[in-house]
Amino acid sequence: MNLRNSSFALTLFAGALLSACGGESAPSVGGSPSAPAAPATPSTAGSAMLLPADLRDAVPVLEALAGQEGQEVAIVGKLQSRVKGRALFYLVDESVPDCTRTGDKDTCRTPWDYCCNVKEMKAGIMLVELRGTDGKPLRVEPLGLRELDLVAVKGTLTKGEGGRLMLLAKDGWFLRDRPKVRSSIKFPD
Amino acid sequence: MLPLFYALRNLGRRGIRTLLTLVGMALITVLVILTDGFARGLAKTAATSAAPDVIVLVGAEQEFDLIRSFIPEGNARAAAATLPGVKEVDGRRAISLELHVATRKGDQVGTLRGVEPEAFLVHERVTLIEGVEPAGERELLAGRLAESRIGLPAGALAVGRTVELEGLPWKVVGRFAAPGTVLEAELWGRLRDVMTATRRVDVSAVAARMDSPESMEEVAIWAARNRLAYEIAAKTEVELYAGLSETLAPITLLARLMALLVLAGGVLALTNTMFASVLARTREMGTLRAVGYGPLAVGVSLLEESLLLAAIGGLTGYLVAGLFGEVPLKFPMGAFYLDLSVPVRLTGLGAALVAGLLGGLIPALRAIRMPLVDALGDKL
Repeated sequence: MNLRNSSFALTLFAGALLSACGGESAPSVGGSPSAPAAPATPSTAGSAMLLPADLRDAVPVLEALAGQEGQEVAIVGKLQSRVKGRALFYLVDESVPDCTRTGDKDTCRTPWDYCCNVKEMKAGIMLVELRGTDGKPLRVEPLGLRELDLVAVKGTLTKGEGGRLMLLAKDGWFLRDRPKVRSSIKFPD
Repeated sequence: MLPLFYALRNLGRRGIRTLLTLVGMALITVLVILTDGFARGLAKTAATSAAPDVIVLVGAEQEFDLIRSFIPEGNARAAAATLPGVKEVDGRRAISLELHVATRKGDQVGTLRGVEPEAFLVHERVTLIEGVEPAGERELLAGRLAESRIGLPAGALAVGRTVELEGLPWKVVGRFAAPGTVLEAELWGRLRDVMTATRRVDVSAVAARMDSPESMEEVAIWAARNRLAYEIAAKTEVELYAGLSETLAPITLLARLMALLVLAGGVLALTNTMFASVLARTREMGTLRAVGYGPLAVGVSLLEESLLLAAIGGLTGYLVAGLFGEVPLKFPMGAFYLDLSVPVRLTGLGAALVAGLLGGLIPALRAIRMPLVDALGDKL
């Protein structure tokens, strides 16, 4: 008997129904993209990277994107995405609306992806990295930041992949604000 | 204790009722096996579809839906050329550009995947079981479950047959297996042919097999740095298929609930049968106790009867389920084979025995508590 019928599953269910009625260490920073490979940097907790005071001179991401390579600047923006366990994240200009509120039918489960404002997001986004001596983003576990956090960070503008300006962070960052979101929104690990 | 033969003889004394109960138990066992096999087959497909060492670069704006994902071909080729940590097999990098298309056949939808020859190095579980890989124009490789998935009769995608997809004829030149994965329900053609047939100038993804677990993390950093340049995001196959497991979990849960309900039906049926047996033999049980057998011996004998019924019915169901062969079933994202392996069938047999035990328990207790005088007077 070889049953080759896709409706078999339904029959099956119908039949069934009928029958049964780190120790923390100080971060090593300052690597450059061309830095030679070195042993992996030990992991650091994000709490050790939190700056005690706000960077009051921080400028919006859009303003920093108009800056020059090599310029030292502090920027502020909303965290858009990150690499788990590494000091690498994207900040979006605060003026770009995220998708936390998309009207009455507010069902967006990943408002940090800016899927409702992709064009504006792409124009106002900047990569931030805090590199170890191996040239790779520092191991930071846990990062202590999550998507949509308003973060201020200081560093040097440099050209990243594709020639776009990015920020090589100097030390840590300051968590300026963590917005309240619907309980149904689950942030990535 | 009463000899086991006594229980066996009693089953024979009420032939029709015993036969009906046996048939019922066999059916219940088959149903438990089928529902459990459905749940296990589905769960296995959802859980084992992803390869732990495969990275998929998807369009930055559609990170979890390969059908809707798009990456300009130029960006995909540049990303593929620079992606670090890709495994090399016989001097070839295990990386392939892919185009995933939801192709219609009447009211059915299947998955047509355009691939490059290196795709076979990436998707290691794909094994050619008949014919050859597509090499000529619009040649097609069909997964073992592709017919079931797209609603075609068995043999419609046999090697040598021609099938119309995306308004063009495609010749099936080979068949492949990819056990326990959703790939097995797909149709594979050459990337360029699928792009031409669907008038696409972009691809859905770049799939790559990594050479080490460290490379997986390396790629995450590489992809994040190149995200804006190539408009891509890197996902592990495990992340991509996690959504599949989540979607299918309620269905598998429902199937398991069904199996429990079926089992409950079996318990009730056996309880009913054994109660009838107690009522019909009240005086006989009284006599047994009068000649020296204790109430426990009589109760245990009833339990033996119930277990014998369940065991014979269960064994019949176990054997019947073994005759089913390969049963393909489809679900929205793919297809799978019903799991009718020995462990699943043994679960069915075990369920029948549990039903026998539970079903015989209450009547046996009733027999044990029966006052001797009342039993002899047939007053129950």
